[in-house]
Amino acid sequence: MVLKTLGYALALFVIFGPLSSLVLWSFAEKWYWPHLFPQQYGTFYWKKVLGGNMVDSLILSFEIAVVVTLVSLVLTVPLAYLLARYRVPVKSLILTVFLLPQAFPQLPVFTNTMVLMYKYDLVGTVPGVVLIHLVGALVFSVWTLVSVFRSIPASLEEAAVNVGASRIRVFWTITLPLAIPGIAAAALLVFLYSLDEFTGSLLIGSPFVITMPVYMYNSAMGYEMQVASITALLLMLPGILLLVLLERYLKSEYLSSFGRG
Amino acid sequence: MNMDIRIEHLYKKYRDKTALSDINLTLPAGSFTAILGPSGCGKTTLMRCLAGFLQVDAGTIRFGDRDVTHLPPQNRQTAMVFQNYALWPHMSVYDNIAYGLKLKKLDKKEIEKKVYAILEKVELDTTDVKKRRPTEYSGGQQQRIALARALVLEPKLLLMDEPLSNLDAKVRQRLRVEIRSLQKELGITAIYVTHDQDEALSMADQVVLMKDGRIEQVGEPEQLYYGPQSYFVSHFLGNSNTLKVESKNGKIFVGSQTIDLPPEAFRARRGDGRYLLVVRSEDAVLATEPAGTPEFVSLRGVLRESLFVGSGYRHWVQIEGQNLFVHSDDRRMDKGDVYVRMPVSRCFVFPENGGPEE
Repeated sequence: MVLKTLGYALALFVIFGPLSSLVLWSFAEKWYWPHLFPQQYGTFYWKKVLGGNMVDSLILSFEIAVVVTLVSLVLTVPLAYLLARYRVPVKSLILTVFLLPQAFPQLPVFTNTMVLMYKYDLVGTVPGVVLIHLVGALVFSVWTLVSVFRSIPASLEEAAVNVGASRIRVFWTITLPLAIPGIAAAALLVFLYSLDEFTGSLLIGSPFVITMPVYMYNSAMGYEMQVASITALLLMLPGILLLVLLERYLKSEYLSSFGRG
Repeated sequence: MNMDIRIEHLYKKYRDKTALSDINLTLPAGSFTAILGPSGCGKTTLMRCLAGFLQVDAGTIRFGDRDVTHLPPQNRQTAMVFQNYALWPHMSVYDNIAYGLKLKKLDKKEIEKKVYAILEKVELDTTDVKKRRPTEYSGGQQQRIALARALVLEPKLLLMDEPLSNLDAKVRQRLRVEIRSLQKELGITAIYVTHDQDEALSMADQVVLMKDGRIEQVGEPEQLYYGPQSYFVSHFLGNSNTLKVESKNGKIFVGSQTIDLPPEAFRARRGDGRYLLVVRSEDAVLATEPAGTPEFVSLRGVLRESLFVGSGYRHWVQIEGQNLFVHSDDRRMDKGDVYVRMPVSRCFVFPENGGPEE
């Protein structure tokens, strides 16, 4: 019992310890070494951040995340359905191709993509950032959705075909409604991935497209610890919110064949 | 109009494995056919070919005068009842049943009338069927809903794929009777796939026993039970015992004992060689002395054990090193030397090629 409580305390400390310094930093107006706590608290930086160009980054990040999510779903829902239901000749190859960019270190992959994107004038543009986000987003989406569709018994579809429904009608009236919770979960995963994606955004987007993580990075590099902390806290909020939702709707079996933990 | 369903020379292969081989079968209009067999015998494959979920490699399927072999499942007017019910959990019970009717573009009033009529037929409580989801019902009730969904379309052929195997024994017994009487009442041609021989024998007009993608024997339940044409059929149906016997110079030897069986007992030409004698547990009788009438043959053995099985006792007898189980209603016998009397008309002898299945 005591051990268990200690365990929880330790876990809480490990998780929230580093975060607590973020909160402290965000309210610190003056904090010099060797003081353990800030000498002066205040909301100066909060006001500065919320009134400044960070809000633009925040909005931009959300916009990009929404677009990335929509594009991934449009592309991967049909693909995942086909992979889950039909005997596709090179199924494992297709799935592996989707994993490949994740198998290599991100930096070289993205740098090479950047070279390619220069050719098409995509560097420093929002479409460029969307594309680079899609590299990772499609992986999350395909792997989750294949499991989602596999978890729906084929007999439910056969029963509908049997009473006269066309394949397309079966998909819209039976399969899709049953897959909605899983698709929502995949959408959340992709949305969060896009919102937090940093490496690709920095390489492809800057200096014209500044998403939240890039903004945070720039602030931290400029020793504006307060601004960086506030950005970090703001970035965490949607994550926490959506993960709570995710937890409620995501069935564990959807994650079973999902490689990345 | 002739609405018999005729299956001729049907073949189906999965990659290299033969799933169905030269299936020939007629389902008379309004009849109930049970397809029985061990798992992997092709019974479900046959049913899926009839529904159109699987394309056959060769052969024809005719519903009446219509050749449906290459029709897509949507146009076959079959209705299937699945082992896992396959009800749509995101729709109300009403919408589940009305789904097919809506596709037919019937008007709302008519759909409603039909749905409620069929719910009454399958004896399902109609309160709140427009609100309640199938998952709120018990397994037996869910299978009634699935049955209603299938029957409401007045199909040409009702296909049932082990519909009762997920249910408790009590519910199963009851639904068996109900499905059978419903099928008779509506006059629907039905196929029922099962691995449960009690189910097959008790429900069907015609039983099809399959093995390794082939039909072993087709006939009325009694025909199959009392007139098995192969060792497999005799061994598969009922609590069967197999004794290895040998025919030599017109005599039949069980170890050192001889018995006298008429030629009718032999399901194949009799000659010298090894044979398998099949007798069911409930047909054999234990006694303290040989029968002494030509209707019975007797073998001397040792009673090893008597097991209580509820409806009676199961006696384990060893005859010349071979095991035999005999069923009786009481336990009057003491362990030790006994005679097993077997009615000649219930002894089936097959040549031993391949031997017993196990």
